[in-house]
Amino acid sequence: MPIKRMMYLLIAVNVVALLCMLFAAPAVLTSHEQVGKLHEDRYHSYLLADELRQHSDDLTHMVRSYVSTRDLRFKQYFNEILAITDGKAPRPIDYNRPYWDYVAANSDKPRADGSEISLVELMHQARFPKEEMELLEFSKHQSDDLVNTEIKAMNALEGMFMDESGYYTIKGDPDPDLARQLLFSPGYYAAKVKIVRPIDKLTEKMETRFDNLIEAGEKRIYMLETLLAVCLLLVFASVTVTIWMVFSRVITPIKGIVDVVVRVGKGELGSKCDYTGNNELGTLSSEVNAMTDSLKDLAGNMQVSSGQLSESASNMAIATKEQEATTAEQAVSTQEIVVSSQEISQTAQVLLDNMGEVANSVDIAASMAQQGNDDLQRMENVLNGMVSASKVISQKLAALNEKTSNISMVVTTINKVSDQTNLLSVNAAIEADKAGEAGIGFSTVASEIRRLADQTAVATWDIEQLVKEIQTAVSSGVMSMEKFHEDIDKGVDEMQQVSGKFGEIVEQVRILGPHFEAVHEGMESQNIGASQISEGISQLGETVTNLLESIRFSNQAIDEVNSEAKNLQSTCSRFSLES
Amino acid sequence: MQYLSFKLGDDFYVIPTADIVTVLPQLRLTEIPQAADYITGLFRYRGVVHLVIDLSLLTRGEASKRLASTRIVLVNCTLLDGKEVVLGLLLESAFNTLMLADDGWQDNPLKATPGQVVTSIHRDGDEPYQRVTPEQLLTANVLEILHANQ
Repeated sequence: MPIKRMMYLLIAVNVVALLCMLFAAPAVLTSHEQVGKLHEDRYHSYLLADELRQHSDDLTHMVRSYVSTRDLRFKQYFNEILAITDGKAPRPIDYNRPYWDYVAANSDKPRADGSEISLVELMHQARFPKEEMELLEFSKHQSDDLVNTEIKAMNALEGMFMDESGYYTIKGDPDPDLARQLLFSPGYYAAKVKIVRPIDKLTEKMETRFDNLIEAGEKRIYMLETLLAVCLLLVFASVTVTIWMVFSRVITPIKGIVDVVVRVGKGELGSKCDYTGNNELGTLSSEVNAMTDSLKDLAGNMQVSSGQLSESASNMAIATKEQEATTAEQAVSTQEIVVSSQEISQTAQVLLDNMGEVANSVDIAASMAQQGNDDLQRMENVLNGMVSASKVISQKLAALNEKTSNISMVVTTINKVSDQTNLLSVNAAIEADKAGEAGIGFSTVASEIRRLADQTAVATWDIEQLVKEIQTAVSSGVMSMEKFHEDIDKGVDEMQQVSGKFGEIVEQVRILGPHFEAVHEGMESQNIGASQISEGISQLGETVTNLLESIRFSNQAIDEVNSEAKNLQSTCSRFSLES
Repeated sequence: MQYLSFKLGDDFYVIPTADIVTVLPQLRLTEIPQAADYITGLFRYRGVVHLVIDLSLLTRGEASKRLASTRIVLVNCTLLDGKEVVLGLLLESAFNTLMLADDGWQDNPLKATPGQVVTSIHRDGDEPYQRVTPEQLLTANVLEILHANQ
């Protein structure tokens, strides 16, 4: 059962028990009060009943004292007692306590007077039940009868006697004996008993009534107190169960989970909660496990990432250092550019000055180009003449080449013949030698033939050489002529192109004038532009210096990142991923 | 005594005309497959087939120049067993005969060295003619071929 539902149940039990107690506790107090009131009422009722008896006794005391002493003071007291009881004289305070004994002793009232109220009225105020009230009234009535007897006794002492209508109109001699007889007769005592008996009966009834009421009240108190005790017991039991449950089902598992969390906090990400309950802590346990797993993954990723971060930071540091160096170079370059742009500005000014001179020169060039064009026309004519002449020469050379080829053929033939002759003479010499003496003459002839053949060979060789030289010369002449011819053709072509170009140049130069004006204006604006560039580049130089500064800052920042990355790496390495 | 002069490279050599059968211009030669490179080929002369050896290629490792003066000289060779064979030699500049005194010859100082083809050198001529005996020109290999041919 989930802890929450259990807690709700226990709280509900507590609330019910406490509500019961809340109801029972005032009820107990009220009942106690009621019982107390009952005791008080009983006490008052006693007092009232007793007062009636006391009233009768006091009257008896006073009348007997008067009859015995004939002291009128007692008669007066007698009447006062009657007046007080009937509510015709003020009732002394705490009248139930001893009073008339003090008064009879020294005539002084021991206590002050209260308000005028009769005994019957007091009895009504005490709310006696009707039955008891009747008994009291009966007693009062009996007491009044006795009072009549006592008045009769006192009048007898004074010599006054009752007539037939019941009034004391008859005068006679005082009769103390009669008075004493009246007061001490058995009838007197019997009358006294008549007064006391109802009071006794009343007392008994009252006793029973109050006993019943008090018993009922106490029973009620007992019941309520039992209820209170049961509720208290219930609360105690519920609290005990709550404490037990908190210890066994909350604190112990939480301690386990806290242990795991502390271990995870120390970096042991392999820790696991082994609590598995079907309640909130079970859920918490599995969630902590899931969280630890996530942390584990995260830490793993962080370890990898921090390594990469560290590496990246190192690379970044290198890169920014390179960038710093580059920017420093750039700053130098920018400075150089500033100088260069200033030079450009100056040069542009010089150029501007030169432009005017150039314009003049262009005019001169135009006239010279025109002249050159004319000269070219003449040269072209000359070249055309040369072309026709060279064609004639070429033809002549071709004829010469043909002739020398013929000569060459003849020479070759002669050569072959002389070779054959030589071969023949050699064989002849060999044969002649073999012939011995007979062949000597033949041998000489053979030698001569060979000598002739050799001379022929030498001569033909010379001719051959000459012919070859002529042929070579003619060939090179032909080639030269062709080359010359081509060159001239090319020259003529080029001449024509040049002539055309010259025409264009002349035309261009003519239209160059206005362009030069435009260029002049352009140069001026360029000059202004160059100045602006110069200024701009100066500003750029400042910017680059600032950039250099910021790169140094970023360099520091990257150093810090680097150290942070290393810290992170060492922090990450704190996490152990092993289970 | 009469000699036919020829050239190997830039130097002059002589063969006695007595040993020569005849001098012929360059002819078309039939090549012998798988023969040594200095054997230029075969040709038929007067009903007999003759081997032709390029002496320049044989002795100097360099083929003769094919000029008009380069000719085939048929020589008589006496083999070790006394047999006579006719051999064609391809010789450069074989276009002159000359007379040299017999007592003008001196022995080649290196004559005793194996493989020497020059037996003696003439002291009187325009050039220091070196006398070559055809048999000595031929290596054992060629001789074997010749033997086999007989």
